[in-house]
Amino acid sequence: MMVLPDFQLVRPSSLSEALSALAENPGAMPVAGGTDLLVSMKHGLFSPTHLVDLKGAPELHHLGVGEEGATIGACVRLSRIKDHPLIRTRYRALSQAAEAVASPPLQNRGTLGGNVCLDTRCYYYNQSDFWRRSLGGCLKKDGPICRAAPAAKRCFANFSSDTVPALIALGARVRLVGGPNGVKSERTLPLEEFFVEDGIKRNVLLPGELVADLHLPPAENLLSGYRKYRQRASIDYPLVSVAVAFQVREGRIREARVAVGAMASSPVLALETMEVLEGALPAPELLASAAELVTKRTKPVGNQAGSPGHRRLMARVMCRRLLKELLEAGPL
Amino acid sequence: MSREFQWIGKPTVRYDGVARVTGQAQYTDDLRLPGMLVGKILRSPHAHARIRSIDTSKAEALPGVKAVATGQDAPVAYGILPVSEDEYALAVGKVRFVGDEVAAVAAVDEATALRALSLIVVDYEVLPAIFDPYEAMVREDVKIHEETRVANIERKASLSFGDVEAGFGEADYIREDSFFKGAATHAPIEPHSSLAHFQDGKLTLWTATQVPHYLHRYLSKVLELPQDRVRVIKPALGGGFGGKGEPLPLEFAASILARKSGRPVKITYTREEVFLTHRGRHPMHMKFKTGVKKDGRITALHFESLLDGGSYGSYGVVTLYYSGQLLTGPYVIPAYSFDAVRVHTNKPPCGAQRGHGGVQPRYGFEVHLDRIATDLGIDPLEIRLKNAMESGTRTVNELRITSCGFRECLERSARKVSWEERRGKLPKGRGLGIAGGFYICGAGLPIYFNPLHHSNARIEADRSGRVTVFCGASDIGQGSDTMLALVAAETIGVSPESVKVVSADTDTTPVDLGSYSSRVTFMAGNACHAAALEVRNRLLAAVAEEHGVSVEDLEIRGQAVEVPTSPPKILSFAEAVMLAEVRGGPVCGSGGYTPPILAGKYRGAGVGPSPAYSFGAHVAEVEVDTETGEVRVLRLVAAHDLGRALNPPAAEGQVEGAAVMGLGETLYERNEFVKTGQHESPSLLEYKVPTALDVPDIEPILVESLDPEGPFGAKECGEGSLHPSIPAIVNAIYDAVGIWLHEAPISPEAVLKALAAKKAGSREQGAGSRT
Ligand SMILES: Cc1cc2nc3c(=O)[nH]c(=O)nc-3n(C[C@H](O)[C@H](O)[C@H](O)COP(=O)(O)OP(=O)(O)OC[C@H]3O[C@@H](n4cnc5c(N)ncnc54)[C@H](O)[C@@H]3O)c2cc1C
Ligand code: SF4
Repeated sequence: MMVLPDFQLVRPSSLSEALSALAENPGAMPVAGGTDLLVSMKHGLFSPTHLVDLKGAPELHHLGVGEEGATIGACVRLSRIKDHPLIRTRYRALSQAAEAVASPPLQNRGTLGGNVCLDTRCYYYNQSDFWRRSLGGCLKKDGPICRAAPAAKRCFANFSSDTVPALIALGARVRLVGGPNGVKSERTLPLEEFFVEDGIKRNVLLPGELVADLHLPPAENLLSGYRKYRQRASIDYPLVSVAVAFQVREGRIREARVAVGAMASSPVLALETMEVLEGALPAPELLASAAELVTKRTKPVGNQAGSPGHRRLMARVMCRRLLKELLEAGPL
Repeated sequence: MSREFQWIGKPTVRYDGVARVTGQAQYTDDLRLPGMLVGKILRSPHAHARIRSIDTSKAEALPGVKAVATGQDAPVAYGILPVSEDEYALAVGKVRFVGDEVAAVAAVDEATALRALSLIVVDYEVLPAIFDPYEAMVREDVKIHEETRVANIERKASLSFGDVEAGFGEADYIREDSFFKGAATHAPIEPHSSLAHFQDGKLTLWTATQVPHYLHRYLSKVLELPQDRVRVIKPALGGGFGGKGEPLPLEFAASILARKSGRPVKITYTREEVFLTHRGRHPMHMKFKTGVKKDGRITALHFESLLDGGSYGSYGVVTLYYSGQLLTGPYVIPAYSFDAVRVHTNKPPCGAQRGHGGVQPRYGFEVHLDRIATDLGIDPLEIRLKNAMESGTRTVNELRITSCGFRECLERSARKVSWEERRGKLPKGRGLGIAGGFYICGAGLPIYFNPLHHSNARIEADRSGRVTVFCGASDIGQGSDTMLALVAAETIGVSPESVKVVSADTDTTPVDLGSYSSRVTFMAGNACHAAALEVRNRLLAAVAEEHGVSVEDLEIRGQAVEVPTSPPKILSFAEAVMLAEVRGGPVCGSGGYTPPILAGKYRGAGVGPSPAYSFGAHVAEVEVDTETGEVRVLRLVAAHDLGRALNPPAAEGQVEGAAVMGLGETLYERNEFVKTGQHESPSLLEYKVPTALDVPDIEPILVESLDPEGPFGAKECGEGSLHPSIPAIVNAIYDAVGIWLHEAPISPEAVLKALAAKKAGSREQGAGSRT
């Protein structure tokens, strides 16, 4: 067995209580489902003084889908998202992504907020304390160099969340609350701006700040989907994933958004692919050229199973297949 | 046995089934004793280093720490094979892989034990490490074990049978191929766990082991305690597959700590430690050269293997010999030779894993055979049928083949998938592949030389009407307790539910050598059958005497004895027991089993002979995604000749499990190390055991060849069925997309690379020549 390090569990019953608890204890960390954090704590990657359990805050459990879009609280479980009939029909990419996370038991426990705030991953990092020490650690934890790319000055750990590429393709905005400016402070930003291409920093969250919820724009005429490439058909994190969303108006592709996951320390918007798609007539040649460009902005390093070259190739295959499937299926 | 079976051949509920599925079974880690301490092991962070000194004083001073142990507490070498006793309970002088055991502590709780580990100061002199077996063969400047004479070669074996030169001379076609089969590990669901307790100078060790008897001997040796002061008990166990098949460091460490602290000590490995303990499949580099006649009949075979043994001996010398000795079936090979080498490298030790020794060569040979068939334009099924061995024969290396249902395995598995109509004719991307295999039913010789029975059983029928089997056999989840109950029940005539089994406790059960080499049903089954016959005979003699009838006219059915007096009488089984008890005291029977003398006269002949062999043939149907390189197994038909299916659902479970394990080794599982020697994926998240979604319905076919010496005709079914699954899948990939894969495990990248090479028309690996 591996033991959890000692910590104090705080169980607030509202969002403001949670924010206060975080503000009062600089060594505290928020926990939702714990499916990512507790594993990492057993590996000795984090040793918070307090864990602030967010699940008791009713504000974070809201899930609403309407004409004006959808709002999903940070503590909504992935299985609830996956099974929600309106998310299934209107925001298919998100439902598919939630279904692709880990395995059903983990979807029952893991939350959307936890998935958005997921730590980045790397072969040299997601290991036991013994393992990492025997190697001398790495930039992200206790060491002088990056083991995956020793010449580099930064960490390339992978951001492997399944739902995030889908949320970004769907145009999600994230609402953050609390932080050093007080428990009342609040800001909302496009989800892609939440992330930072740096395996250590990961995102713009400030100390004590929380993800409160995510908002999706209305889903009119929206086609979307998510594809994940992994070794086994369940449990595994993505080696690469692609999410696509667009509308078809008067026979043309409009407002195309394509996001690539698990290829960098943050999700990547495939701007070149989006540009080719925008306003185009859906034709097979177009799909191929659009898919070719999907890896233009990604340069993964060898810190996951599968070589970087293979993962990039798979991104292109997943993208082409997904585009083809969406265009063939047409609007629901 | 001429009468119809009451229970055999029908589904019997597992002896421990309800307890297991309701969570009531007590595994070692579930056990708690008053005052129990938690033990933890300090491991080497270096792949290869000399230990200059160990300072444990700070750890000892930590409140809550009750004992600290190092190699000096028990500097007695051991190893499962007497020819390679090269391990210590805890390192003495040197460490040889990242994770090698250096010291151990017992403390009041886990956190304290872990803190204590961090306070132990070890001064290492780091040495250069070797990870590549070819390098290990030649590096004289780096010696992983000082004792090896040439570089890091632990052992070589070369044997030759028949006239190999003439065999190749006679061939119309000769082909040579090389293969590499990478490492795999057992990944049992239950991590290793041991609980040691010293009382009145006597050690009791509850432990997750497949081999209580061998462990008993080695505990006595290493702890320098007389054997009668050591007791080994195996509680419910959650999967072994060979990974719990030898004495392991935690078993000694827990015992040493319990002795030092005077309190019970439990050590349960973390998942990472299970991976580091390993003893799994050897990575094997292999070369095959086979000569055949035009019609595909084999005339000669030469084989070479290089085994990457990792840091210690473990079962390696046996693996080495098996790699060569088990290629002389299931096809008739008139002339054969092999050269095998096992080297040490600075990785966790490799040892025995399900299908031990034969799995890697089987993969290579069956693919090699398909290549020969393809070269000659012969159907893969046909070339196998043409060369298939038969019952009542001897192989060129003198293995005695009693029963053999190989031909039936081939025919039935092929028929099940409509081989003739479909092979080679499926749409591109889909394909069928076939492969054969065979395996031992226990080794002909024990691991240490002794003339005693390999299996023993004692059975007592008591006046409550209950029958109790006492047997050392270790049920590791494969169901040997159920087998014992069933064999005893059928032999005596009572129902299996009324039979109690006491097993795997060295104080109370007679010796069985353990659960390895697929020996338990055959050997313990035979011992149990013999003991049960004694009980039955005593009972029937007493009833016959009491009622003045002849023994031949009596029959025990269920819980009753039918007495053909007029009018006929029905005695309860308990009444019959009482009649026997009145006449001669407790109604006991005992039996043992020793295999006949089977080994040939040559040196090395001890590895390979078995009282019987199982046979198998698998057909895989696969789909290859030529854009991603992913291979999906759509069907796996697994025919297995197990002599007789004593309990068909249990046998099917074994066949399915073995086939799934083979599938995992073929497509998913990689047991590799980063370049500084750390295990690449020591978790069940990153070590890719296939999930339920990655595995098709396995379609088992049980072929019953009725072995003349097996209990009720039974042979093994736990391991043999792993052998054909790997090459069947690889051969199916060829049928699907026209590529041969000479390395396993097969990654999607490797498939894409081979497809690209094929498209570019590059020269293929391996070559054949007409003579
Ligand atoms: C075996 C296994 C396989 C997995 N496979 C996948 C996979 O395929 N795809 C995938 O995406 N994930 C996978 N995961 C990771 C994890 O299960 C999911 O990402 C899950 O959604 C995390 O949610 P959680 O609520 O459990 O997060 P937690 O573990 O509770 O938290 C994760 C991180 O987010 C922070 N956090 C949580 N909520 C908030 C909030 N509201 N505001 C700010 N910070 C917050 C925590 O402090 C922590 O750092 C896997 C995990 C395991 C154990
Ligand atoms: S990418 Fe480099 S720095 Fe980041 S976790 Fe991996 S090894 Fe460490």
